[in-house]
Order: sequence, then C-alpha cells, then structure tokens
Amino acid sequence: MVEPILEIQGVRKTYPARRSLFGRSAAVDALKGVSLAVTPGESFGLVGESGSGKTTLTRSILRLEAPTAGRILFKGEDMARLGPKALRTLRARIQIVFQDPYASLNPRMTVEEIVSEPMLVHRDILRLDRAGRRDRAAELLALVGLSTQHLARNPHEFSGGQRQRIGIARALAAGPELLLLDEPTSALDVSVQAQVLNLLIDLQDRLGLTYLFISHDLAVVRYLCDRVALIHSGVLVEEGPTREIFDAPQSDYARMLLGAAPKVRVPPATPSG
Amino acid sequence: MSKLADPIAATAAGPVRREKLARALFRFRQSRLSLLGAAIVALVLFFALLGSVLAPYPDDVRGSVSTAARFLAPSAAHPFGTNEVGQDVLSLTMAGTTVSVLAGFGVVIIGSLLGTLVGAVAGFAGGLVDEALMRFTDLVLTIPSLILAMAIAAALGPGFENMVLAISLSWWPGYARLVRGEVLAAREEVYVTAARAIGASPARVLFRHILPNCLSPIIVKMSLDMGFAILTVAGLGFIGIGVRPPTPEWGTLLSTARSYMPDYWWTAMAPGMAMFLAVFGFNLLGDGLRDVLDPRGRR
Amino acid sequence: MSEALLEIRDLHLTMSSFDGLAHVLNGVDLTVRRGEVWGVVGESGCGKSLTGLSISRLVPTPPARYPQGSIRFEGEDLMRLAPHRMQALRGKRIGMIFQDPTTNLNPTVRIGEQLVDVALAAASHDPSLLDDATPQQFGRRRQARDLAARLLERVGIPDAQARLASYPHEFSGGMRQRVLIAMALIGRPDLLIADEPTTALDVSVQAQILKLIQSMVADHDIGVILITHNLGVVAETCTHVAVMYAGNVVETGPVAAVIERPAHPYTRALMAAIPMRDTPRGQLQGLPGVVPDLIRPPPGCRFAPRCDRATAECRARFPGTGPVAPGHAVACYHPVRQPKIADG
Repeated sequence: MVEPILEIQGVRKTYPARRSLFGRSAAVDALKGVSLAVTPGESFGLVGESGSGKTTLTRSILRLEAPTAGRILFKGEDMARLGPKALRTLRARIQIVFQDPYASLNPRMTVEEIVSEPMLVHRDILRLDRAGRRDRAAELLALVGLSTQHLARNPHEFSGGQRQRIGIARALAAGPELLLLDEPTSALDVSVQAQVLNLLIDLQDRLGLTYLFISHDLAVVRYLCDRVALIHSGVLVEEGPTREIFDAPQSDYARMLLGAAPKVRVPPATPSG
Repeated sequence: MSKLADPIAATAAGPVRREKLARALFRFRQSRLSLLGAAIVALVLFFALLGSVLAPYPDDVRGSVSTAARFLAPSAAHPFGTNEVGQDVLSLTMAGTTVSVLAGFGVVIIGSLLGTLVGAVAGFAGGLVDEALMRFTDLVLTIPSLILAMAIAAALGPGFENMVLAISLSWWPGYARLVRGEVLAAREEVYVTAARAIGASPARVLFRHILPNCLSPIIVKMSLDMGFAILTVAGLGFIGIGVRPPTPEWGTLLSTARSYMPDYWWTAMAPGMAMFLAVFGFNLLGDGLRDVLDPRGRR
Repeated sequence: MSEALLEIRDLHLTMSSFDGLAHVLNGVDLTVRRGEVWGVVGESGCGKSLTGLSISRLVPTPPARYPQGSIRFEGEDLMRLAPHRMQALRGKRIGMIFQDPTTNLNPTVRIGEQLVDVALAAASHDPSLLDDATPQQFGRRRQARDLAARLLERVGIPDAQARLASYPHEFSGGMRQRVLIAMALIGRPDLLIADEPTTALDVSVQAQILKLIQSMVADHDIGVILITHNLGVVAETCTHVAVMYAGNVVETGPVAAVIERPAHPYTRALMAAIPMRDTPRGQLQGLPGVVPDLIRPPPGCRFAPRCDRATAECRARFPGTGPVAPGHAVACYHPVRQPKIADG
C-alpha cells in the first residue's frame, strides 16, 4: 500500500470551558477522535454541516491550532514535533484555498504581491530573485486562466470567480503537494463554480496534486472526489469510495444528508445550432 | 452598486490608480461641507507656509513696537486693529498660523505613531502584553490631558519642541485604543489566516497585512484631531506654558488680549476667529475623509 | 383562472453611480397568483434581489429611478401608492425574508419583544389580527404575545412560549431563519418574498425551511416569490420559475416545463453547469464570460455575447417574449426545441 501523504490519527480538540462575569460556558468537544488517511494524488472529500468540526480539522492540519490529543502526520512526520524552521518549510508543501474569495485576498495588495508572497516568504527554499518571482507569478496566472496584464490590479477589480483563481494561484506559488480546498466554490454562481471545478481537475492532472476537499455540497463532492468521509459533531460517521457512499450509504446520517440535498434533473447537452 | 463596475474595470486596461482617486474625489464631492472643510484647511495651510511673508506689517511680526499706534480700532490700514504695543493684529495672527499648525501636526504625528505602536503590539500580541499595555493606556487616559501636558511641559521647560512633546505624550492613548480595536478585528480576517498559512512571519503579518488595513480610521482620526491639537497648543499658550513671545502664536495672542477686554475687543477678534476657522475646517475635512475612506463609520 | 395577486409589467429600474447610469431592470414582467411559488433564478447581478425589493418599494430613490413600468398588487399600483400606505402594506400584506438570519434580528432584544413589536405594528393596520384566540380584556400586548407564540409554534419551534424570552444568539441559524419567517407571517401576508432564505443554512435545515414555506402556501393560499441561485431548490419547491439575465426575465413557465425542456440557451447553460449524478470528471460545462456591464449593455439580447446560438439578429434587437408551450414563454430568437428528456 502507498504511504499516505496525510494521516490523521485519533485527533481530538476540546475548547476549554470559559468563566466570565456572566456565568460559564461549557467545554466544547469540536473533534472527538478523528482518524483518516489521504493517499498521494487522490481527491479526498470531507463532508460536514456547520458545527461538524470540519473547520477545526482544517485549522489543525494547517497547524493554526494544536489538537488536544492525537497526531497529524505529513508524509510520516508528526507535525507537532517539528521545530519552527521545519514547520515553515512544511507550510510550503501544504496550502489552502479559502471559501470566500472576497475576504481571502488582502485588499491593499496587488495581484502580483499576493501571488508572489509565498515565494518571498519561502525564498530560502525556492531561491527566486525579484525577476524570477515576477516571471513565476505571470506563469501562475496563466495556469489559472488569467493574464499578465492583471498583475498590477487590486483584488476589488475582479469578479468572484477571478478572485478565486487568484487564490488558487497563490496556493500553488510555493509548489505544494497537498492542497486543502475549503468550500472553494460555495460562494460562487453555478456557472462560475463549474469553471473553477474544471480548473481544479485540470491542475490536479497536470501538477499531480493531492486534494483534501472540504464541502457541504454533495453534488460537488461527487463530481470531484475519489473518496469521501462524512463528519458529524466531531465524529467520522462514514468513509469510503465516493460511488459506494452515494449509491449505498450505510449510516442514517449519510442517508439523511443525501435525502435533504435538492436535486435537479437536467437534459443532456445538444450540439449548438 | 459599485459591484456592477467590477467586470469592466477588470477587463479595461488603464491607469488604475488615477481612476481610484477619481472615484474617491467623486464621493468626497458629494458633500458640500467636506469641500468647504478642504477649502478652509487649504487656506490655513497656505498661511502656515506664507503667513509671515504675506503679513501687511512684517516688522511687527519680528517684534517691532510703536507705542504711538497702540490700541487703534479696526480701520482700512489695520483691519483688525492694533494691540497694546501698536502691532498689527492681522499680521500677528497670519504669522501665528505657522506655529499653531506646525505644533498641531507635530502633536498628531508623534501621538499617532506612539499610539499605533502601542495599540498594534497590544492587539497583535494579546494576552499579558495586551493587558499591561492597555491598563497603562487607561491610566494615562484617566489624567485630564491638558493637566498632564501642563505637568510635562513644566518639567521639560518652555519652548516649542517641549510643548509639542508634552502634548503628544498626553495624546497617544486615543490612538492606542483605536488601533488595538482595528488590529483585533483585522487579525480575524481570512487574508490574515491565509498569510499565516503561507508561513509568513508575525512581523510580516502585522506590517504587511494587518496595519495597512487599519490605516483609514487612523488617518480620519488624525484629521479630526488636528483641530483639537491646535486648540490644545493655543490652550498651553494661553496659560503661558507654550511658545514665548515675541514668536506670535494664537493662544498667547488671546491670552494677552484678555487683559484688555472688553474695551479693546478687536485684539482678540483675529486670533479667536483664526482658531475657530482652523478647528472647524479640520473637523469638516475629517468627516469628509471618513466618508471616503471608512464608509462603515458614517453617521 | 384566478385573478393575479401580483402583476409586474415592463418594470425598468436605473441606478446612477460614478460610472454612469446602470440599467438594472430592463422591462421585467412577472405575474404571481395565489397558491403559486415562483422561483426567480439567475447569476448574481442579474436583478433578482432588486426585483424583490422593488415590489416592497425598498430600493432607495435616488440613486434608483423607475422610469417605466407598473407593479400591481391585487389591482393597486404600488408605484403610485403614498409612502404610509406602502408601509402598511409591507407590514401586513407583503412579507419579506432575507438571506442572513443573523443581521436581520436585533441581538440585544428578546425574540418575543421583536415579534410583539411587529405584531402590534401589523395590528395597528388590522386590529382583527389580535382578536382571534385571546379575549380582548387581557390587553393588546398580551394578545400580541400569544400571537407571537402561536406563530413560533407554527414555524416549528418547540416550546414556543418559553423561547419568546430567548435572545437571538441562543438560537441556531436555522432557528433564527424560522423566527424571521414567523415575523414575516405575523400580518398574515398574501405575498411572501423570500430572498435566498436558505443559502446560509445547512442542507438538512434548508429542506425543513423549504417544506415550511410550501405548507404555508398549502394552508393559507398565499403567493410566494423565492429568489435563489440554486436550481435544485427551485426544482423541489416551486410551481413556476422565472429565469433572469442582466435585468430581463428571459424564460418563464411551470417548473416541470422549464426544467425538463429549457428553451433559452441561458437556462440550458445554467443547468449544464450543475454537477449531476453521472457527470464524468472534468466534463462539467461552465458558462464562460460574466454578466455584462449594465451601464453600457450590449445592444439587442444581453446574453448574445455569451451565447453559442447568437446571430446578427440577436445582436441588433432584443427578442420579444413569446410562448414555446402553454404557459412557457421565452425571450429568444433561437429557442432550443426538443422532445422531453429522460431523467438524468
């Protein structure tokens, strides 16, 4: 069996109870022992509703938060044991695309600054000088379907779909192996969503990326992912190949989710004329 | 409805920055009051630069005395009359703009720099550092600023630099609180999380991502504060701790004029009106800037 | 056929901005009868929300202007109604629900108080609202409170009487949306306008809210306009659908007809962009391009620049709306005609 690129072993996260002047809030168990493994080159879908713990898991993988218990291994290395320098190197290899393209780009920076920032931060690994960074930024924009003339613009001048392309270009800038996609199309129109999904598939085929796709949209997950895990109040409810889960869900929760999702029947495409 | 414009802006090549400026001007011009404020501020800055050169009686500005002409009522030759040593009040007031505006600028700039530093560190570091810095800020805030400035000025001794420094040291807490709040809010923005996920250092996150997005409210507050800073400078001058004669300064002019009220009322007219105009102008400008830069804070 | 509850005819709306005059609505026609649930779909920036807000006259003028068109509610022209009468209509006969249930409730006021205020305001136009269950001697406030509790119960909030004392933050997103629906229903509206009511909610909650709206239609014979970008929601909830593009209604008809035989190329493109059960990986059809600049819209059909069926005729003149089947109308020179398609 192939060694997983990302392995999550019994991760728990408890937010401690808080005492304040007006009473105390109970401790929250956001993750109650989650284990899963993502193999290189696959698209792994993580499906959950709000409050399921999927955001906490994402933040833990990015090491923006430390799990209360359990281990997260990247290529067999325990991320909690990494020193600051090794952790920084690791950050170049795991990147994220965020849900809201209107909030995830710094409004005061130009597209060039946004896309070349990872190269600047990791210049010790990438060894790109100013001109090299500029060339690579232009290359990345072309890769996501934008053009060089967009480099000098600010994010507010772009539509939602274009901003998400910029966000993808930034995520690719440091040459990552694993991309966390945190509902990257849920803020977009369906017409634009289709373009972004196809771009993600195209990039995966070309660059051999591994995707961890976090979403609540089952149709999108079925379209993009090879394997799926359902998470519900901090517990992994069901996991398996996408087709199996969608065709023969085992858990009540999976059946409920599949039943609740609105469906539309669509005619096949006809040639234009 | 600005969203409508996005697709065109993204496809049309053109000078982006100039367009942004034009847009800001368009919004600014929507309000007549902000335009009036900008005009008054421009006038005040003009006199700050050239007041002593343009003064009709430049000798008076330099301290020449003519007892024969003391306490002349307003006339064509002296539109605002003359004072107790026969100097032209208009000339003194025009020349006094320099000190007042310069001191105001100094106070606002030093105060905002200090306050931004304290607020940014407190908001970004959080925890104990935040607690300590903010409690110290609150402590400074509890002392009335004019009294604190008087105490510091008295300790440092008279003079322009000392006065500016004294007021600045009582001025920064407002900025510290403002910036801390802004930093706390900006820290939670998704693009800040994005920067951290990239592996950017804390310094980079703070200076590249957080602070630039806190600038607008700081600039607005600076503009609004300019008027009050000028007023405080004049206040110290009035009490006699500020700039010493013969350098003309509005507060000192008023303070001297007070002894001759109400018989020689005109000696107080010009400096009083100048002060009123400057404060009024900077406040209107600040309100206008807020509408342009920080639309959230409207009304 | 019953008389129309709402009739929008040739509605034009312009917005002035720094860049010039934007033609946001460009002759919208829409007729809603009692018992109908109309889905209004289209990409963002197509004028869906502004159509909804125009019915309630909630678009600020200026910068907006209505150069042309009429909105008739049970025969009365809303464009000519005095502001105070319009306000009475909003509180009582036209209910509105918006996307974000968080920002539409005052966080510092108890749910009960907020509902009571709305109930009292509605009762000031129609005192009979409060008299139904509670005898008058208890006072109007008490009556309004009972009405609020009954409505919370009806929208499926358990233990409603006790929950009146809760603050909005003690409710989940779905619960808050229910409160807002209850609020919109207090005046017993004849028309409910729901603008993306479930976009911010989980699918399981979404299903419940949509069922609730459907049961309101069944029980009270009201008309509903459901503004959404989700064609799945439309397919499952609505009786009719209006597809909007860049300020025009380009296709209208019964849901079954429009979804099974979409005639306008835009409707087809929107549907082709939805990932289906059997869509092969990488084969999803996106719709290239963006909604046009409404300040300088393309002449003729506004969809022509993105349309693969467009001809010179399309670029010259806007096509009139014509029927392709009974009740199914489309504004296109080259509508797609095809037999009914098998389920996907």
